[in-house]
Amino acid sequence: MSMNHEEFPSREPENPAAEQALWDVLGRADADGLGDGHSVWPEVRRRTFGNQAGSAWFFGHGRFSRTGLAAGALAAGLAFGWLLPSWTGPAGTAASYSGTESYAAQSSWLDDSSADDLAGLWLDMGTEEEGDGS
Amino acid sequence: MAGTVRGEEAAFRLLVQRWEREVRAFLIHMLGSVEEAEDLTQDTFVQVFRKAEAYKPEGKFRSWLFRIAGNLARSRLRRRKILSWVSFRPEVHDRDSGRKTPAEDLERKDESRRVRAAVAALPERQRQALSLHRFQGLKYAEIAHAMDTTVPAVESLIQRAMGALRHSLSRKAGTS
Repeated sequence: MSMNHEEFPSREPENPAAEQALWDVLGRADADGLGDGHSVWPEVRRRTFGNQAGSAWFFGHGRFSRTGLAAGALAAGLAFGWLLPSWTGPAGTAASYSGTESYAAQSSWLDDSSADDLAGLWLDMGTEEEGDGS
Repeated sequence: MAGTVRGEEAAFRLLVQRWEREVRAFLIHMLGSVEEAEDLTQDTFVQVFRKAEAYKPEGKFRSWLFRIAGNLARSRLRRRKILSWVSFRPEVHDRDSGRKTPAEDLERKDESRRVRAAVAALPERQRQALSLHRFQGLKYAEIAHAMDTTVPAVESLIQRAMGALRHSLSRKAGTS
């Protein structure tokens, strides 16, 4: 490899031959197998992909697939936590009395009524309360 | 590199195998120790893997790679507090070329040893710039990116390195 003097735009070499000789000496010094050696790949692999081998059967090998699965699991958890209360309703509100059994247990004075009657009564009570408030 | 960004093992293996020799050679020049260069070669590729998503494809990969390697080398040098003379281990460097007569081979090995010792004695920044340019073949703009500096600064570093080497080698040649 000859020295590329275009790489030295701001000066002219004082002694081009001597500079080229030094450049060549440097090149020879580097050519004697300086970079040779055993591959670092096994150790690099152990430190990068190695720790993921145990869970790769489920989460996959790709970084994005793992990240996507983690984000999906988090989103599903959040959605479930948000939807579940709206399905069941918070304790102590009228919605929590939608089950006829719980309604009957807390309303023992209606224990001989049919389920339909109870539901109808509960709806009527709700309507009356709304009407009272208006 | 795109494959590495996706974290694919096969692509990353190819990348390591493509560049490990050059990274190791650069780190030997920087550290003067084959064992430490081996350690930091591993560390360099582990860092590449961890920082793969920060790599911008419009930049030159090798300047980014040597920037990581250079930063690790400088950290190691700071830790060791060794900024001047570093001795080399002859058993690793003196590979048999197989094309020379024994006398020529001996002479060449001796020359290589002297040159490497002179390179190792350069100030850290000069050694880094010279090694990236002469041994790893990076252009000035790539070296500037790898060393987080400007092209004129790189030019100055290499000029001073060449001047120091010329002085050092001619003095040694005169004394031997």
